[in-house]
Amino acid sequence: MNFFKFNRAGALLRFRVMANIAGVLSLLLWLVYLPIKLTATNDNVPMAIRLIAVVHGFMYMIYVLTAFNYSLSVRKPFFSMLGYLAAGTLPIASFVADRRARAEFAAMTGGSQLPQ
Amino acid sequence: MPKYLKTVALALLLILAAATCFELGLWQWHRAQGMAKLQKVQPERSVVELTNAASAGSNLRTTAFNRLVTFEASFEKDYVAPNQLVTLVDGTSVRKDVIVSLARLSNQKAVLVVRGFYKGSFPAKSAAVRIDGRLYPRQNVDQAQGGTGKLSRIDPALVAGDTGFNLFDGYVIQTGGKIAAPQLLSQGGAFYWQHIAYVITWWFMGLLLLFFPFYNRFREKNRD
Repeated sequence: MNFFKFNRAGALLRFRVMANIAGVLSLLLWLVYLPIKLTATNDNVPMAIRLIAVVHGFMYMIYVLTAFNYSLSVRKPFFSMLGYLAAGTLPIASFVADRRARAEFAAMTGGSQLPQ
Repeated sequence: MPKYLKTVALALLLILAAATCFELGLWQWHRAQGMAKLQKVQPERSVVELTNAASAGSNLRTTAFNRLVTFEASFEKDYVAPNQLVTLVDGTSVRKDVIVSLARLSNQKAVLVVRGFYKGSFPAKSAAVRIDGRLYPRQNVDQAQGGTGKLSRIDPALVAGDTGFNLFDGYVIQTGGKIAAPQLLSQGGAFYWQHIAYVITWWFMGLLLLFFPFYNRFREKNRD
């Protein structure tokens, strides 16, 4: 069984979509949810704000899987892959990961297979 | 540093990191289980003195939610809480105005008590009586317009300025009347799955770290 036979362009596209979703959710989590949660007394956080954390929980799980899939498809070194996985937890970091993945994929394929 | 020492150090580091990931997953798993528990009716625990279940002047702990409590107090001040959704003893729910009284315990401590339906007047004042009921967390959402003698929600913070008492957080629904005091169940089903998502993520990370020694071998083996 070959663990590395993935459609690279598809893996990159999936990763990029999830990196942007996880990035927006991380920003909301760090800049909206956490300040409200930490300053609220008795865990008095409005439901709409709580949902940010719920959605982030699910989306981060999917992000991790897509980052793993992409890293395997382009045979990234192990610690570089861990960096991609962790990028979904910090605001901005997953946007940086998205740009980096796009650039390295373009360098690898000469830009011929780059998904838009 | 000899190569074998580097390998041992790296192996220890990976095991430690993987164990941390599994432990974090386990912590999220316990949080999910705690969340699931709050969504089901629990077997009743024994009735306790209010002062043993909660402390005046501090936030109500989640372990105190839904506790059946008893205490001796005198009713000092009455309020109306309009448009409250209450459960009757026959199990049906209605929206009505209820009487919420400030019950003073000894040592200048006081707690809000839901006593019954408001029908235009308040019960006569009496000496200290024993009150039995169930303890609930304070309401976060307004149910009606507030005003003088009117509580928009049942929250001790709204009466704190009216009294010099040290108030208990939350409120008690007095049992033995027309209003039932069922266990309050959490509606946070989505939060259970949020914690499960984190469990999967942490354990996946842990497995990935354990996969590290084999990763490069696979990478090389499958090179185009």
